[in-house]
Amino acid sequence: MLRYLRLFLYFVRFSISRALEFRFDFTFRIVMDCVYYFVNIYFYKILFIHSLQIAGWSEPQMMIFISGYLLIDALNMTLFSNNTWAIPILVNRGDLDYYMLRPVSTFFFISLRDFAANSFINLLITIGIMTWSFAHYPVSLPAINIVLYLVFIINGLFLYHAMNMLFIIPVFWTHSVFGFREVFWGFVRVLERPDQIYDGWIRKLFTFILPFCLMASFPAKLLFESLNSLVIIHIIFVTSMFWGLVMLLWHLALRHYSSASS
Amino acid sequence: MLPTKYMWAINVFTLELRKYFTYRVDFWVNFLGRLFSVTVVSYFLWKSIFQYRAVTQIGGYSFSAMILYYLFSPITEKVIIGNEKDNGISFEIYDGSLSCYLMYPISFFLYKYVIKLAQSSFMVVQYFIALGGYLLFFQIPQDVSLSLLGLIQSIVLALIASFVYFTLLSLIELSAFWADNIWSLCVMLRFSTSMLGGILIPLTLFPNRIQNIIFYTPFPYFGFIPIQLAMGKLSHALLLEGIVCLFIWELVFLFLFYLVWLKGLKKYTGVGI
Repeated sequence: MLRYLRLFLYFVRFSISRALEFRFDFTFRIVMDCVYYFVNIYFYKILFIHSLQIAGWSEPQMMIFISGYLLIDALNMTLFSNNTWAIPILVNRGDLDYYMLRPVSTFFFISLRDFAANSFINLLITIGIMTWSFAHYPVSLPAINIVLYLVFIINGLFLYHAMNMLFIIPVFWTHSVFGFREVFWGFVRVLERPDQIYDGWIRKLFTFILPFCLMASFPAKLLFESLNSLVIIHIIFVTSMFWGLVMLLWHLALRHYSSASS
Repeated sequence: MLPTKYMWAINVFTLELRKYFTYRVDFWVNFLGRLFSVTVVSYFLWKSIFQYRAVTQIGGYSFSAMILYYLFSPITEKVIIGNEKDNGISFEIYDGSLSCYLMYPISFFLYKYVIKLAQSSFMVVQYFIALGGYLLFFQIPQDVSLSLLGLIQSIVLALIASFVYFTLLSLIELSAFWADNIWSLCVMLRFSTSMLGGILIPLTLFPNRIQNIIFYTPFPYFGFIPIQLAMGKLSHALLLEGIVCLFIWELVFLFLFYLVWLKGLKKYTGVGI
């Protein structure tokens, strides 16, 4: 465990020094994510011009929900995004060999090798947005709810990464340029909307099979409503199942991988 | 018929189309997956808003017209903007592979545009498949008038808008002559277009003063106006006005493109990264 932590710290150090060499890119990636945050917040601001509530949530509640998924996005961009982006390229060029030969978990190496230093700045900005939205919330929230909210937002990050990997792993078989990344991004929109809007089989789909609602919306529900142990068990169960599935598929994919032009 | 000196364009166009059809699983999964996610999420979001407000129209759209808008939005976006985050020009610059193109007896800009045109034409096929699927299962909303003429006009305007978007994106990509990695600028343009182009939300829902500002920019042509035209919510006479506006924007971007291109070429060393 300590060995992995030390390795991760080396990744961070190398990535920061590399990122600072490209200052233009470094700065504009920060601005790019700020534009993304603005677009998301303004989208809901426009909706609230036309409706006082959305799916039973008021504007201050929605701001906390938005800050939650922006935080997940910033954490993902900082830790995983650059790495998951590169996986299809590594597979199709046969460069994955170099990672498989190392005496550490290939999954760990491939998921965390490139730490996005610029996105770390954005992470601080999203923490700022979250603090602001909590400060402007008209009612004081119980401390235990806030702690659980933050814990499940972090859980949402890991579920996000698991889902992302599930859409990328098929590249080992399809040999396409980017796997089903476009589809995954389409589904990210599900995560950016409150789960209460969905009903029927679509609700089951987005809470069990493609559990995007569990990443940010369920934690926000835990924050605003009285603690519901069923919701907590649901989140933990689905996250564990998905990580199990990802690990299984990853090992199958590595067994199927046959190096260059595979 | 194209003059002989432009016959290469047909070869590049067909080659690019063939490339798209190579990954058939990708094609269907990406197309259906994205369409499903966008329309389903929009359906439920707007359903909850319409139910809460208990009104028949918001921003000039009935509920079913709003859903049709969100069907048109991703497919029109694909025709105009496409899948790729950039045109590949920036990569050619800092990779040094631009040097090859500079020696070819064809215009680099035109070559890249033919590739983009092939992508857009491919997306037009997706456009009609999606629309056909909709018409097969759903009724046309009462406040929408779909007609073949309107759809063709919308596609024509979208294809012209895709050329303007291509030029604007290429202009941004030219900053690669001076900067190291500029994909973030391209993504920023994409985010801005989805908001200001009405892809994320119809522009009629924006506050009036913001709408007034947006309509002075080319962004509404990158989504909102072609969609309105397809839904019969704009008079056909406005098509000509739209084409003229796009033509003026194209001239501005093209002028800037060549200005920056000539300056950039003086700085270009061809060494690559």
